Amino acid sequence: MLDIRNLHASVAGKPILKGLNLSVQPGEIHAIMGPNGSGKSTLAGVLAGRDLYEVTEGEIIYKGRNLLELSAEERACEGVFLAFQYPVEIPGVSNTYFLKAALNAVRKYQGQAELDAVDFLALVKEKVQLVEMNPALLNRPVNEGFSGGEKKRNEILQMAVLNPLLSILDETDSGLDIDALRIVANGVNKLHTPDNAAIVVTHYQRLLNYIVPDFVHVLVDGRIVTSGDKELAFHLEEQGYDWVKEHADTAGQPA
Amino acid sequence: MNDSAVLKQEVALRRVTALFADFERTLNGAASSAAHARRREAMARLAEVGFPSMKHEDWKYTNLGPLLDMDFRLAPAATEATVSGALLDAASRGLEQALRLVLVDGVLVPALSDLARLPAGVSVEPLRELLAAADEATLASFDVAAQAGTDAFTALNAALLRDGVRIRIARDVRVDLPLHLLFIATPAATQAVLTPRVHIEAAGGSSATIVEQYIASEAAEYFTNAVSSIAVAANAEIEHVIVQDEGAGSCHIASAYARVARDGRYRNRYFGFGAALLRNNVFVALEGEGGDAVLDGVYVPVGAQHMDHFSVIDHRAPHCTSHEQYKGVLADSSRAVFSGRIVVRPGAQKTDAKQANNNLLLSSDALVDARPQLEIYADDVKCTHGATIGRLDEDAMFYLRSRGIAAADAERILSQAFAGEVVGRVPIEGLRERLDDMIHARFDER
Repeated sequence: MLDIRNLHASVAGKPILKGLNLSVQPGEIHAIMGPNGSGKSTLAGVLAGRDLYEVTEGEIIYKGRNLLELSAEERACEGVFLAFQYPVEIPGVSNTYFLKAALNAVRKYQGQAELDAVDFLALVKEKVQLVEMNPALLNRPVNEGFSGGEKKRNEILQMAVLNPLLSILDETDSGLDIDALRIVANGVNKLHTPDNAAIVVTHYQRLLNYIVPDFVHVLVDGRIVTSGDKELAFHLEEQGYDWVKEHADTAGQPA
Repeated sequence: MNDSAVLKQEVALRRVTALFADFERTLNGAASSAAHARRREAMARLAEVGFPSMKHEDWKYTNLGPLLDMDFRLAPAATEATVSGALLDAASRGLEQALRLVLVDGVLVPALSDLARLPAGVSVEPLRELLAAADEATLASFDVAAQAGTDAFTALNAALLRDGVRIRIARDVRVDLPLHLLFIATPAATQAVLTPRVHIEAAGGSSATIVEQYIASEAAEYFTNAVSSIAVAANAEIEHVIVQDEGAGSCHIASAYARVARDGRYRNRYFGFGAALLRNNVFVALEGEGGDAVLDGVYVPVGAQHMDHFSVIDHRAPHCTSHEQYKGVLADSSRAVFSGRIVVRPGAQKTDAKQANNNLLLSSDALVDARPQLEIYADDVKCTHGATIGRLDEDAMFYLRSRGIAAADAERILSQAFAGEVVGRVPIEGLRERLDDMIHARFDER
């Protein structure tokens, strides 16, 4: 589904990703862990099409197409979804209006009929239950005045409504207490099918108690230095990132 | 300012003087009436002050060139035949329940108006009847040109005054249905000066909502020079909503003069869409204790449109409040001007005045001049003002796009949300939706 090959990307001229490789197949959940500044959020931003990031080398093939040639909105319509680390507040735009505009834009792109108000509300009502969100938040402006947990739940609600093929969760666990974390993870698990895939970017192993990954990758200084199964995450938790860094210094140089 | 521009004002004044003479000839016997004596006074005042150039402090950022180049022809005799039912229906969307008064080329057309449906305590009279009756006290009551002094365009409106409406709300009457004044410019008005005139008197304790809407039945070049005067008596309330959707080739200059007595409330909400050149003046005098004024505005210029909002709120009594917010979304190479003057007179203690002007520039060719001015002569007051000029929030744009919403739609959604704060305060739900749609449509036209 997704093939990232030798990806190099920089922000304001500063190289952040330095030769990243990653392959994701349908049905898989990949966790990307790493210390602050290792390039986790840059990877998420590059995949979603934020023009803040400049890709200087390498390629990203998604569903057989060059992802980098697509605009952010085309990627979304093609099934790429980024759950933001810091969801944006949009005063004056109601959550419902936003969700409907997004869903209908995607449906239109995919050649499906736009949903009318009745069908849309029925769909949203169902998805709201999935993420255990207070329905009153639907009528409020997008994320405005939401608590940290409400914002993250709102991200998962959008994911549930848009039904993406490839979800990228950028530190969705940061700033959440255990209850909120459990609810958000629960939502992600319920949305997981053999046909879709998720990349879970996180700083902490804690999230992986709730979302069980098929693969764990450790990102250090813009490259994946080691990969393994979920046991790697436990190991990291015990040893800390310094262990991987040392590992990277000795063994991680490109051949 | 160079000589040719000064000359332009003089040439235009000569054309208007000739126009006035033509107008006078059409009056025949009425040229010796008391009403016409007031027109002559107004014409003399206009001749004395002349049309303003950009040297004039209050006109510093607005070039009247396109307006002064017009022919200044006499407004046509209005006939209802030029107005289709479909046009009336389209114009009334969102205001279906309202009491409609239709003025064609500035003249009230009873056959198209709901004069027979007016509730008790509401009177609507064509000004032409009051002008003909020539009662001095009545004439003086709506002669704002004499009261307002030196404004050239108010004088021009008074000099060419032939009709309009006087609306009176009787004591303690609360009018539930909005009054919808629909001003239609017809193709017969091409190159003409239209002088719409509205005079509103709200007696003590009364309340009413009045919507003025300006449209053209067909695209044409004409000049609408509108004047409204509003007298809000003690504890009365007037909601005054103006929807300006004039023809693309027109010029629109409007002046509203409101006087607010003790505990009275006056709200002026202006929504500017049409006309190549717009100047909207609002003057509010808070004359009694506890008076309240709200001045709201949204302007959405596109192409090369120029929209200038000028306001003066005069706090003459203690314990009055005024809230002013104009929001603009500017596209293409459009321009906007905001000048807001708040005057707090000696003794107007406990004044609470807030002013804000917020602009969103969608294009690097768009330009805004914002000029807040506070003149405070009292020492126990709360006055704040602020002007902002910004671009669309990049994080918000990316957020919308990352959910599949195309960049152009994201721009529209965020712009509508920006204006929505002011649109949301319009007290008629249907009109709010209509205004939202009109803002939406601006983006489809681009």
